Amino acid sequence: MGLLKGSATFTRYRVIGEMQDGFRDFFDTQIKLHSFKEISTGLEEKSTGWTSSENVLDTDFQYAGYSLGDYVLFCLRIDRKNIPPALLKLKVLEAEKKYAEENNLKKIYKEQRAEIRETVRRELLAHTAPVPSFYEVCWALSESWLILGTLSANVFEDFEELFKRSFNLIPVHFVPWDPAFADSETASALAMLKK
Amino acid sequence: MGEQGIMDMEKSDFIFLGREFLTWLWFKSEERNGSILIENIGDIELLFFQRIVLESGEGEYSETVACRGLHADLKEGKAALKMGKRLKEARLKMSIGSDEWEFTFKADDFDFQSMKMPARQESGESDDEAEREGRMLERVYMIEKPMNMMEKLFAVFLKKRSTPLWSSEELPRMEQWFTR
Repeated sequence: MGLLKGSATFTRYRVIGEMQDGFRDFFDTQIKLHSFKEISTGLEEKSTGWTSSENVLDTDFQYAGYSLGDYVLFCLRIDRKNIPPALLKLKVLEAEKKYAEENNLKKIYKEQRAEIRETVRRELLAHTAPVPSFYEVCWALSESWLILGTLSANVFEDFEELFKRSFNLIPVHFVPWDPAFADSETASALAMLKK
Repeated sequence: MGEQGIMDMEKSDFIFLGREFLTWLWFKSEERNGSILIENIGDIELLFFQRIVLESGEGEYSETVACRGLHADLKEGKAALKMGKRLKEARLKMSIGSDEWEFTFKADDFDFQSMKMPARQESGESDDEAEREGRMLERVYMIEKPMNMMEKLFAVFLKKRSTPLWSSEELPRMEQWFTR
């Protein structure tokens, strides 16, 4: 984290698409609609949603607390259940042994093996607590760019997908040599350099 | 160039520019003892210190060299430049006026890591809404400032890089610097 406190790590995006009149009202509706919700069933492995950046437990966004002048500040929360591979392997071996003994089998076929593995995985998943992570977003609405407080490619994917779904706009990673965002001077310079 | 020309270009065509830019920036920083003059802005201070990472090639054929040292002049880095490597990331100290930032800059994606902000006089953790907002806005401004400065520096670099003077003047001076 660190956009608001401590040292900051971030990447920059351009926000592509048209923002209708009254976008702030639309934003308010959409951020609430796509706010973070706890993993509800035991088998869900991941949940993503928006939270307040000042209080990550706040998903109500009352009084537009995300608003800061021209900016909106909020947080992406990702909860993920991870089963340690070594634990899954051990539990599958135990279950296979038990299955073979109970059914008096010398060998377990591939299909049965896969079924046992899936059952064990589901059981472990149901008893695994999700690990939460938080990434701040600072969006300059009128300038159509934002910064996201992480450099993790996995998080980029989740962020981009949720952002598109929430606001009907497309976030594109910004680098100053992207011809798509070049002014005429930059575009001419890039054209000279194209190998 | 015409519209068609812009449409034909992809950002992946220019991925090399990030590393070339950071390498050039190191040269510019050392050329005038850490001071870089930017048109319409004036002088800013930029120091490369503590850590640089250089790389040549891509993917499985890439070779990386990392140089660390608090007070070293990163000589090994210049040796790696001679071998054809270019800067992939570096720890930078940037001063604009009386404000100073420290951050790791990652050239391939133009990303910023572990940025330390200028020290501010604390006015206490006031609950006053206007003061709180003021503090947050200042913080956002302090993040934007070095980010915008790096973009301005890139624009200066790109302008130089795309003219014939790059090959006839800038590049020979750079080569002279790292073979010195």
